[in-house]
Amino acid sequence: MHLYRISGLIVASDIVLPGAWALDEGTPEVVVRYGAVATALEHPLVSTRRWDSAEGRFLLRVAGVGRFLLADGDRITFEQEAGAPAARAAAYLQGSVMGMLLLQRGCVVLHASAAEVDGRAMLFCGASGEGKSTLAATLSTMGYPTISDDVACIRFDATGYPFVSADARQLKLSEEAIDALTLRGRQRGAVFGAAKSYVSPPSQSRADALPLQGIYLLRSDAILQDSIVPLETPQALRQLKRNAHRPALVRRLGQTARYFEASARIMGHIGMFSLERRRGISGLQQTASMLEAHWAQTASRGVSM
Amino acid sequence: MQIHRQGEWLSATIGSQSVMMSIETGNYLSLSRIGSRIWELIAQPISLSALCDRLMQDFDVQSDVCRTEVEAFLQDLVKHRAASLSPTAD
Repeated sequence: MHLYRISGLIVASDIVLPGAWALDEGTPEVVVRYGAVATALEHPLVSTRRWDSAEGRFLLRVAGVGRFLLADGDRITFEQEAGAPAARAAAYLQGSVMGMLLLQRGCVVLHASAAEVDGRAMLFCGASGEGKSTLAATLSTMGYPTISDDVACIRFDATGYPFVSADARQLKLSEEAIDALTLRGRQRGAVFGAAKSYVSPPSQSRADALPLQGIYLLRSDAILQDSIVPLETPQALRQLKRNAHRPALVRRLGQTARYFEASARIMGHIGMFSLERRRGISGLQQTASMLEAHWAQTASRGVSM
Repeated sequence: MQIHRQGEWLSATIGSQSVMMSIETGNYLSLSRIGSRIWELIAQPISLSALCDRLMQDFDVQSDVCRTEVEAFLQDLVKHRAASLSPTAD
């Protein structure tokens, strides 16, 4: 089996997962195996066309890929559809399926990239195409190690402080971004179903988990001047819900109350900001410099962001 | 005037404020310390004068100021469909 670290978990997998952080050794916390998976769960609590959910079990049906059964947050069984491309299964496994497993384990899972700044984690949320991965890549070239891309898993320590789990998966970048950031030569294969490549970030965080310090909501527009504006708590909570890895799933799995409570705990410790930036890759360096200035300013005030 | 809570809300405390989310609409509300106390007090239907009496025991506020501010706050809750007001002898 192949061994990886994904969102802080050691995962042993029958399936090769391109772009994931490969390990030489470790005790698996999650095991992914090929095996027979029934077409439906018995006695489901919720059943939809694409998935069934029951106590401790979750069954995902993906046409053209196969069926995934997630059990107790630590076992994934995959039955591949005849003729389905293995790369597509791996892409599903690393995105939707891992996101669901983390939800099953009680994590807050955001659709976000994350960078390490002075031993702390900064998260970047936003809709697809807003530049989450590209900003993480830009920061990585400036010496801010990449913690994660696409899926950011937040857990709480014994005191209730939020931590972002290590992932260090490779960044999914467009050709334009690879050229603009001079990262050619660091590609590690094509991303299935997207005109992007997996790229090994120039600097990767290797900490198991880092304390969360700030969350930035990325929005790009045809504006002249980038800006960072703090979000009021209700607005921030709304955005944490909207930027969940799978917002509809949180609701349909009956996790709305848990997610709200966890989001409020997060907001009790950190700041959330709207980061409006000029659309396009050319302004990314400027955006990253503005972030640096923001971090320096908040650090010098000695206050929680 | 009788005040009733409306809808199903989740609430949490962040520092000195409370935040609430409507399960039905997904709307969010942020309440100050006094707003949180009012929210607690309207868990059971209560009249405006009884509510103001309770608040004057908890906070240092004049009766007329209390009533005016509470009425404005209640209108806000009504606007967010968090409370309803029914006209009764008060």
